[in-house]
Amino acid sequence: MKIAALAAALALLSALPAAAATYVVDPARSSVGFSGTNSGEAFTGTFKSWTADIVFDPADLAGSHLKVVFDTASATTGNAMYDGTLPQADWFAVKDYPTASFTSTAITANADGSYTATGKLQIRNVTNEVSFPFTLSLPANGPAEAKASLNLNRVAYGIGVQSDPAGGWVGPYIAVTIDVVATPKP
Amino acid sequence: MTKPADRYAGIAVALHWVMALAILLMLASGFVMAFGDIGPSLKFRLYQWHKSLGVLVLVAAALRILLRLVLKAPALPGFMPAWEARAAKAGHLALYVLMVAMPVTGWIVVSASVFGLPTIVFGLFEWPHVPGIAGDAAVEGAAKGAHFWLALLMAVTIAGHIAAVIKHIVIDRENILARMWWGRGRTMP
Repeated sequence: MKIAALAAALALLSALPAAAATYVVDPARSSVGFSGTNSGEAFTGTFKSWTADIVFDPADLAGSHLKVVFDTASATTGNAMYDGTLPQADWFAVKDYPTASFTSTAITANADGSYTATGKLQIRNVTNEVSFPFTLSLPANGPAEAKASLNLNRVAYGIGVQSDPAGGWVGPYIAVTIDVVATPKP
Repeated sequence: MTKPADRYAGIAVALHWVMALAILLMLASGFVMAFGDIGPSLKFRLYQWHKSLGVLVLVAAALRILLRLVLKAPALPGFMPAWEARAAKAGHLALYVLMVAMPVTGWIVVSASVFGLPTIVFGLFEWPHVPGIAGDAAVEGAAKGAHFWLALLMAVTIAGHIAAVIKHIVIDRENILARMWWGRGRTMP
């Protein structure tokens, strides 16, 4: 019986169109945040402006991909001193590098039901390969939600390397928290 | 009989003592920032506080010099020998120059710093950077050196200023301090 049901399910799946779904982000319910420390005190911030091209199908991970482009000038901490510093030449250098981006090269499924995204992360003029796990909820009705968090070493991206390469003031590790709510394009 | 030119104007007296307190706080916080064994969190806050108070000292110094030009200082008391009068005038001139040069060199340090931290005066409003020198390490280094040596010179000049007051009170037995305090009537018989 079980085998018959599985066979029926597989037949149904293969009958579905092979093209993976394109998702549209709901910016009001999505966020990309970052946090770190300055002189031992925690700060948090968010990117107010970013766009994502998401093509995803759990049954077709090879055909799934995502590209996220961040407006570096939109990084906001709510602290006037930090917000005045972030756009400057030694930090995000928004005049020379108005955007940062992540482009996936592979998405793989993990045993625990989560996924791992691997891709190229570009900040300033540095592009490094990063790999991070994300969880995904794909309800039959309602939008999909993906969550991820990763730790980045700002020094590896040339951020604040003239001011504070050793991290004596601004901690070298910046935690990035991603929460994306998106609906498939009809 | 009130001799009008006997003491400083009330507003000048107020500025003198407010700035005296501010400058002592600036010197103390500056030396603690440069040499004190304090944690980064306190040091960072102290830097921002020092920058904020420095802006106020610069504005107060400009106001004070303007007042000095408009109101004129009372003549030096007659009991002082000529060399003391010359030293007093030179010392006062040095203090005026330093109370402008200290905040200006500090302002240049902050403006040229590669760190690029803005100056938010006591968290209330942003004081602009000196334009055109952002991230210039050579300018920052020169201004830093000047700020340090001028601070030492200021500490020495203030010590001389206070020593002179003590000398006039203890040795000359003249209440010279009354010239720099609020009141009516002649300061000296």
